[in-house]
Amino acid sequence: MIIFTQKALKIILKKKIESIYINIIYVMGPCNENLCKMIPKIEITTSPVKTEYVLYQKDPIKVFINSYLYKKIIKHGDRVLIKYSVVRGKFMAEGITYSF
Amino acid sequence: MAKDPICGMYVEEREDAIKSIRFGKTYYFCSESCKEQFEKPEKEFKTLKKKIIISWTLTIPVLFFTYFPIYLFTKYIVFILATVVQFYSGSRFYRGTLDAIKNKIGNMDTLISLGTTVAWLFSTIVTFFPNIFLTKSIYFDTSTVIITLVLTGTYMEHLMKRRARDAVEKLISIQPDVAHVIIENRIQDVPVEKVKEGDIILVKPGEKFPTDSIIIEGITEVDESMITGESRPVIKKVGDEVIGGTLNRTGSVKIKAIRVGEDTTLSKIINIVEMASTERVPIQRLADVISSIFVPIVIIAGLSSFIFWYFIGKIGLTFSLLVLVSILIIACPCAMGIATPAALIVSSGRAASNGIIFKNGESIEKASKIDTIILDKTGTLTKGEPELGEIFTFNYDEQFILKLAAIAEIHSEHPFGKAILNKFKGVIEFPEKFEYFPGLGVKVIYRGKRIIVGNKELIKSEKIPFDKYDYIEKIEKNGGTALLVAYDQDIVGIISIYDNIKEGAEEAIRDLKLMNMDIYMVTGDNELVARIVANKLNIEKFYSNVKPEEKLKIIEDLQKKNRKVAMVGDGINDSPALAKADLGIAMGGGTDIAKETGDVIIINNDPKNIAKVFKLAKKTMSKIKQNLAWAFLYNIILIPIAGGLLIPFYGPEIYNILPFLAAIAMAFSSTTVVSNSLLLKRVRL
Repeated sequence: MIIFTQKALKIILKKKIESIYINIIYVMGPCNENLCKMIPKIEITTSPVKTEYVLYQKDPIKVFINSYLYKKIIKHGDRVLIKYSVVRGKFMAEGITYSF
Repeated sequence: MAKDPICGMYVEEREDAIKSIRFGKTYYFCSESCKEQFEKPEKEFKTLKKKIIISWTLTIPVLFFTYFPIYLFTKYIVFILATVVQFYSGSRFYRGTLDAIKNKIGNMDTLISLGTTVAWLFSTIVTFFPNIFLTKSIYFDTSTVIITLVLTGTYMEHLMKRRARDAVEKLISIQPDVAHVIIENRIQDVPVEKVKEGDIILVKPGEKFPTDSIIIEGITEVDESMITGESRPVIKKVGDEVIGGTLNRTGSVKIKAIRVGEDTTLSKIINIVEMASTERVPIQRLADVISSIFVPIVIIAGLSSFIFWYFIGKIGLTFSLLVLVSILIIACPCAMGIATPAALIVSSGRAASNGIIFKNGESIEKASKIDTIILDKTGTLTKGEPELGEIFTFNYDEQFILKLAAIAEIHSEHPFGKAILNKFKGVIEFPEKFEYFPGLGVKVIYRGKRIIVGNKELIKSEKIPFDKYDYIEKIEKNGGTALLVAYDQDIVGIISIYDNIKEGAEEAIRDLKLMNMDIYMVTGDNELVARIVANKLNIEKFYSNVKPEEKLKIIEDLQKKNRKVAMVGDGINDSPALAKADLGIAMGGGTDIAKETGDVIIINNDPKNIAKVFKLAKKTMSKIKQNLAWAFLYNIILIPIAGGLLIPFYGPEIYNILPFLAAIAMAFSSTTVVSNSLLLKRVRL
């Protein structure tokens, strides 16, 4: 289940955002060797990036989730909270079990 | 998108992408250097070795001439030697830094190259322009010793990592290179990669089966220990399946390839084991968050300490610079980065060599938290292949009863029917008419007379007089099922069928009890049969007459009581229950692992391995925690020490040796993590 904070909803209405996309991005790990893997992070965008998505819910806006992440959310029964960070100026996701 | 197996970058699977085929699987790389490192890891290792030898050869005279400057021009010799070490031996750190800059991140190489460059640059300026700074001291020894020690540490780490990957490498190496393919009655040796589905292959005694196949001619004993961990050879005859990579011990056989390349069991096992060791484990989250911002924080800490000690502490430029160098060198993000993967790779390799496949890293963490286990009876605790017991006959001999039952069951797909057909040795005639009653039995017409094989309900519904209930009671008391055989109008015999307890099941329950697990058994059989099996195995709690969908309810109820539940069952029939449980353990058949649901697969079907799953998971989690604690404490304690914590007690002179100590600590911090993880190889399971 995905829920939005009031602040996030306000921004969505204000910016007339129709859909959001929950993606996994990878940043380099701290060392250059094959044991030290890249670090996955969740990133929310308002337009799709080149990946496979699943339409998770349509209300209050369409939420598309990276298909791999979707399986993990379903598997864990995660309750995802979408909030808006004023400092970073972007949407953030909370509540996803760190196993992706 | 494919993942570069060396650096972890995501690469598009395009036709023109840099790729390499290994064991039927295509690997994609972000660069030629990653590809080379993948294909020829020994080359990288040799280069590192060469650089270390040169580094030590030059560092020793640097140290000697620094502390015993025989001639005035000695400092120029030291400069030349140190420069070779800095830019030849240390070139890998600069390359790593360039990669980091390209990716807009910081890494361990950034810190080492920055730290050593500061020391080298400062010393070079003092050497050629002695009047710029007030000091005449040079620190070429610092930069060379740091580079040499860190390279030595990296070399040690490489050696350790090789051992960590031993089990996975062994799996990769068990496939033979060549197959003797029979083409138009002639044997032709073909590289294994070129074997196609349907090819007929000759496998001689002592050779390995090149790919997953079916035996079409001959009989042999097969050693499957490399895949299943089971040391006893298995007899394989025509029609039996053999796994690629297993060893043909005794007979020469002809086989037909049924799975090749990426689809083979071995390839799937390798893939799953490798994936499992690279996935994220929830416990790693904090380490990942910190390590992704670690390098900039360390650089800021280094610069702040330099400014503090230079402007406020007034210890002078030289010592202030050495504070900066020490911080940059001692900080070790690598230990944090490899704390979890190092333990996971050793653990999943150890598990694989025992016939246990953890499908993902997370399942190891989940397995370590399990306190309740539900075991499906059939196929997990019992053989799941019914066998005939005693046969009670009335007016006819045993062979005749068996013949009647075999005629009735000839079209049956039921396991009981198969057990009867396996037992009957003789010619079976086909009946004229066949009727199957699900859950009850079969009725056929044979030479104008009816034969019924089934339970008492079917006999009753066919209005056949029956009064031999004491026989049924006797069979059921022993945990068996009674099959009544009726011929024409009379009951002529009763066949008992038993699902025997698997070897190792008792041991498995004992081990699980020793681990304080709450054990439940579930079965679709009636209460009497369930009770007998439970009693034999010392299981106090069981559910009988359970339909597949009711298993989910049992799991849910236990989960509501905050129990962490593992379900052990058949990977295909029990799929929903395995998925519902916190941890699903599938007792696999050994060949179809990718299709099986479950977080863990026991490919050799050995119940003793159930307890091993939990033992290994607990030990692995404990190793991960130790590694993370080491990595965190190392940085938390040593960075402040490098930053000047000891100056009030020992004065700034401590920095004459502190950068060296920092390099030693840094060089061996990652090695400590890897060698601690290697201890998992010695854990008694």
